[in-house]
Amino acid sequence: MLKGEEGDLNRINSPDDKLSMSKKALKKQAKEAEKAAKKAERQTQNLIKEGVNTEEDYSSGQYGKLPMNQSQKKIVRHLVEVKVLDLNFADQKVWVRGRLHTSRAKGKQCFFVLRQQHFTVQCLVSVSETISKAMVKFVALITKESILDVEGHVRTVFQKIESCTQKDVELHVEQLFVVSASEPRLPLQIEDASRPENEEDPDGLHIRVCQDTRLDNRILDLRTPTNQAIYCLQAGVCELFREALKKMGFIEIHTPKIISAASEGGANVFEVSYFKGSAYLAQSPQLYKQMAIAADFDKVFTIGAVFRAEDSNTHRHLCEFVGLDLEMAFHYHYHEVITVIGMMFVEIFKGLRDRFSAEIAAVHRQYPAEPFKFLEPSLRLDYPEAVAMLRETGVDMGDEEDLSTPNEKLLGRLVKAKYDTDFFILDKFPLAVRPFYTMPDPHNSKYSNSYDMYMRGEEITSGAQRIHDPEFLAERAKNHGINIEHIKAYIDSFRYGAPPHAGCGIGLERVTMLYLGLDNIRKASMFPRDPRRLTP
Amino acid sequence: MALNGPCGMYRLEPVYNHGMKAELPTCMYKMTSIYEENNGTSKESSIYKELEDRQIEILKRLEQLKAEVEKLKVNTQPMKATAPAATTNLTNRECGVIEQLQANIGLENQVCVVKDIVITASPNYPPVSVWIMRNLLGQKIKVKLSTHLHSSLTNFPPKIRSLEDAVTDSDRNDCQLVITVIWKDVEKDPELMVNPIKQSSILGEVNIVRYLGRFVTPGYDDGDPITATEIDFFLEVIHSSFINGNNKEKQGVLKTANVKLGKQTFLVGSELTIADIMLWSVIVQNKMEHDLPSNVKKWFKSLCNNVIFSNLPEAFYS
Repeated sequence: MLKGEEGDLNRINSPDDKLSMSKKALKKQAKEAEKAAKKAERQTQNLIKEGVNTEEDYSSGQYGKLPMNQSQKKIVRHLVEVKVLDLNFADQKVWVRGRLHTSRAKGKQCFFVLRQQHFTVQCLVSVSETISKAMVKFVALITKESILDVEGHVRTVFQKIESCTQKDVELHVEQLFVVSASEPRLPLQIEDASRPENEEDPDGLHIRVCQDTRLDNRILDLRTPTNQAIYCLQAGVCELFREALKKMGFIEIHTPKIISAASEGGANVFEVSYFKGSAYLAQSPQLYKQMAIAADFDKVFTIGAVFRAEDSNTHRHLCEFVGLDLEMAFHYHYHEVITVIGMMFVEIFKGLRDRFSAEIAAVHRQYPAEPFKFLEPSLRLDYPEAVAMLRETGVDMGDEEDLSTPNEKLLGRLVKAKYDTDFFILDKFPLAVRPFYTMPDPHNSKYSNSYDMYMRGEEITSGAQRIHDPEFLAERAKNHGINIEHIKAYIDSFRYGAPPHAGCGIGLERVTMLYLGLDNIRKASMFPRDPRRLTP
Repeated sequence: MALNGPCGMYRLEPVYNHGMKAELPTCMYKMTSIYEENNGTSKESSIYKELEDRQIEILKRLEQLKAEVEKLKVNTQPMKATAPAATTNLTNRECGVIEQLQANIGLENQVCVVKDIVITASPNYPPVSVWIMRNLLGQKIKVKLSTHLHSSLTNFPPKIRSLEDAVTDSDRNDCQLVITVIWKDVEKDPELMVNPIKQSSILGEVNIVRYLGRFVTPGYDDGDPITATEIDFFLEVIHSSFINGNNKEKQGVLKTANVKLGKQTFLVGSELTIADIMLWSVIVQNKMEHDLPSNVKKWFKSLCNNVIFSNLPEAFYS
């Protein structure tokens, strides 16, 4: 076959033919190339089939490609999870399903790594009395990321396998079937995408997968151990949020996401068509959770999507994110609410630290960061204290000035240096930098009963005692130059008696990002939405 | 020529002789030469004047200092011998820092920034003396002591939990001084962060008490240097032989104290000092209050009757 190909090539390249090379000839050439490609493909296919075809193949039936699963048969078979494979399974015969992570053929044997989520185990196929050469060849040609069913003996190894999560055992394959094959060409290599970002290591490979490639091929990217761990942890944040609040007597509510008027000012809302008119996507459940309080639900929380039409491409802004919102009626002082929120965060952090230590370690292997530190009960500082701390380091800022992003970061570092905590609550913000519905401080009109919470020097939530008096609310709104007609429904909801209340809204992605010390919020959103990305 | 001297060159006779007297015409009025230097007498007088000015300046400064010292002296009455009186005297002293803190409030009525002292300590070695110092300072100013558990701590003695309840829940901004104790997975010696930016800190309970002791003015080492040295000596003994010593060494410290307390009511001098506070603290920490030499026992009990010692969280005794 090869000889023929060579002959063809020679003919094309000979000067005589070159002269007469016309359109027809070009066509012919193209055809020939196509033929060659087909040949090559057939060749590989032959290689795969070879085993099946050869009569001497004594392993036939022990390997192959399974037909598409249409749930033809109920097979009673116990599949063992990769993560439990250890010395306790030594010398047992087990079935495992996983993805082909990497494979390396070497003469009569083929090593490959089977991956299940972020757990990996080394497998070995080698020619023996039961395993034919053809079977080894078949295994060597399976494309990466294909899903396999493997049966084999668990064997202990003499030297720890450092490249796998299951370091003490390997699998000696007896049977192997392809459940679902992957395309041979991957847009990104899982190995590249999960390579640690270790700048100092001069020997390490510096092949990176850039953010956009990752996001364009998100399903492949999400298969990396790091991403598996990030989203496990994110689910944990939600779970712990619910758990902690339920324990404290909160109930979960659901608020509408399509609303008639912008809740927090007119800017930054997405307009959608709503039958004959138009409506907006909710910027926050603010109004509705407050209404729930006015309707005597006492303590409520909600988890749902929140939309912000902010045209900013920063590392911490998304157009759609998950809001963890809570609102609570208090008895005498809004510090009751701060205490509850602080306790809730401590519960979440403790839960993450104790239940998700493996996931945190997995993320930090790729994106190294300091472990998250916090205090119990949470540290609460007053705004003037923060300003004084910043001034001490030479920052020039006014008493009523809002914290700029660099100042926030600096403050985070100062607090960390002094108290050794990554989480703290900053109380008593200047009234001027807060929305109109924030309750002013009773002793000093410059300040307000509002608070922000910070993780690693970045704001994750802000909240306040809300004004629950309709007349005062209207007055404050007027001061802010807001048309009272537009927020009439909001003000009216407090007309029939409303308990004093306070609350806060937390960004799930930000909490995940900052807890793990990631540098970009897109790493903590499974399918992020920003001004430049609407797919996938 | 003088410049050339050191270079080792040969000398020359002056080429021009400036010494000759010029004959000046008498038709014009006389003036002193503006190029020549001032002659002897005026030069000397200016130097003397300068010296005299300086002396007056120094004298003035001395007067000022003397006045300040006098002022302080009025506030600093020596402490009486009896225990309850000692505390009142301690509190009667004007606290310099306190004054300053109070002045702060007077000046900025609306915005008062509290001073926050952050101490990290191991829950297995609670620095009891910090609580005593809080009580001591608390008699003069509003002090808030808040405790936090650091996330590095996964298991801790349950009695540390009950310390939380002992903490007064007043607002930060109502207080003049905040002491924040953070229980953390650290070594035996507690640590006080003085300058977070430079990360300079004070290590060891003894030194923290020294630091807090200087908040009471005059500090323990502002007065008689011999007393101060004795206090320092005792603190060092407690640090090296009690906190970091074995049982035998601890008994040795108690024996020394016993001898001292046989002759006087307090460890050093005739007044309550931080040496007493420190020894009391380590006795409580080591739960040795029931097993003391007689004089020390008497001293311990008399201190227990004192408000600043009796008003401690239950958890410390047990």
